[in-house]
Amino acid sequence: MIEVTNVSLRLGKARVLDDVSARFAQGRVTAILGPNGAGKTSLLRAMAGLVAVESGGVSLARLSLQERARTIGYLPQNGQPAWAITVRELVELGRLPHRSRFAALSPVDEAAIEAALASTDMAALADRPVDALSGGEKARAKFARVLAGDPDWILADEPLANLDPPHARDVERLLRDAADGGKGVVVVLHQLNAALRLADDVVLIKAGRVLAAGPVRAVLEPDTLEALFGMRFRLVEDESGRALVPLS
Amino acid sequence: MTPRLILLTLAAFLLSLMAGKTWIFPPDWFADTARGWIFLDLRLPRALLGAGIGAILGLSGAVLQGYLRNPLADPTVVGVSSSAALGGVIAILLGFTPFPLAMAGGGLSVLLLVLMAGRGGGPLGFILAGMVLATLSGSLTAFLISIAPNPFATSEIIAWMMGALTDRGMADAVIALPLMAAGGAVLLLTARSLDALTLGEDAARSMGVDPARLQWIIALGIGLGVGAAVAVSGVVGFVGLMVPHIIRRFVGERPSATLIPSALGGAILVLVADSLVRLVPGPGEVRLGVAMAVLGAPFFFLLLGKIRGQGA
Repeated sequence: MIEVTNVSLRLGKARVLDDVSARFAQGRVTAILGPNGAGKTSLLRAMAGLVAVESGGVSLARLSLQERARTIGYLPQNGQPAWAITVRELVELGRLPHRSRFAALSPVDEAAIEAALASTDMAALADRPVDALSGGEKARAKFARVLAGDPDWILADEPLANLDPPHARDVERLLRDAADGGKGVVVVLHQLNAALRLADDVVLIKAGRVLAAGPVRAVLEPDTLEALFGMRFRLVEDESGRALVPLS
Repeated sequence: MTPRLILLTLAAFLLSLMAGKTWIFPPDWFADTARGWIFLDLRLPRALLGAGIGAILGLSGAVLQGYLRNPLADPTVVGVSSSAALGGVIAILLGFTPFPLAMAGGGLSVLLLVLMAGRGGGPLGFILAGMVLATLSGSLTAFLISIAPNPFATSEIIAWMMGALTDRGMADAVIALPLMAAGGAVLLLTARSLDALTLGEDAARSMGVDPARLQWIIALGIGLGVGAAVAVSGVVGFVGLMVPHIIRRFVGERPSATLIPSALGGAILVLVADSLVRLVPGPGEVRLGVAMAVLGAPFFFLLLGKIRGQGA
């Protein structure tokens, strides 16, 4: 369980989080949804300990930097690798929190790297430089880096951004599998229908405050979404699933 | 790759021991003759310093490029070289030997660099603070040259600033080499943090990299190593910029994999260049810093061509 308790946060002069409280459970996918600039990424960064909160607390913040690095796998939104390292080198980075400074990769490290490459279907591309990958392959490689660290929590900031439907579905499956395997998965999302498919719980953020939180079916309904986004949605449902359609 | 680079470094070191207006071959090295004295008092310290300076400049370039995630970073960009040079110029004007004040200038500059970059400790703050320092110390140096009391002082300053290993003796090597070695050892501690930074600051921090601590380590290593290099040789540019580029083509782009090869590559480049400047016919000697700049311009022209080719 990650507990966020009465967290307020300023970036410069702007107050981006205002008395936010929320709970996130392991073994479930929780989606953080809200308009642009509502504070979704700030909440995720505060949970990962990447930014110091002004007041309030995050339960994992008590851990040391190293313990936190082993407990939380954080997938930033724009993590384009600065250098053309290979996929394997990228995935190896996930083991950094587990290794002492000059130690070579242990058999445990190697096994975790191979497992992460296999579960993201990247083993065949392991020796390819990351700048020679397609967008979907790059997203899987970055996800493999997080998996290789075998964290208890995966915190992902818009992991579906810029992915076409089949590649988005691949990443959704990886997130689902991680949660089914017992990890806590928290994702910032923009796609309501991806949240409907993927999430167990949602936290809706508007202007730095929690508007609503709870199981996805209870919270993602037209009236709440109108309060969140200021526009109407229609929920359509048939045997293949549920979808939210914006009304103009 | 690294074993071959070590062999090449040894070869370049031997070349630097032998090459000059007078070639000195191994049988004469320790002879009690004029050649033996030249070898022990001039060639040996010069080769040692060339290897040390090249290594620390190449390593610093690789570390800074990794830290700033920018292939155009080097010690001159963050103002350490020009601040050390300013210290050296002040010393020459006051009639001292340049080394201590140049070293102090380098040390002071990295302290200012970290304080100006701020507590957040981001690479962007680091590079902007470095540009402030480089501009400031460059203009102060120009000011000091303009008020130099006599032409002799002016020419001494300019000659020193252009960078050279001419007339450096064993005493210089004994002071400078341990400082450069210490700086280099400190810089090697950054290897894994630089790898983590490949994915950006947030990702690096989430993998356990403490950005403020990393910034201090880099500042300390650069201050010691590059400070000592500039203090003993003046400003030798382009080594830190060029060498990591060349090295990446052979060892790949992972920052930690480029560090030791860049140190070896830097040593090779400076040893060979410093041998060549001694072999240029004529009365004087081409300054090493000038020779390096002459090599650097076409190198970047080639790089430009490659980048334009990729963009097309």
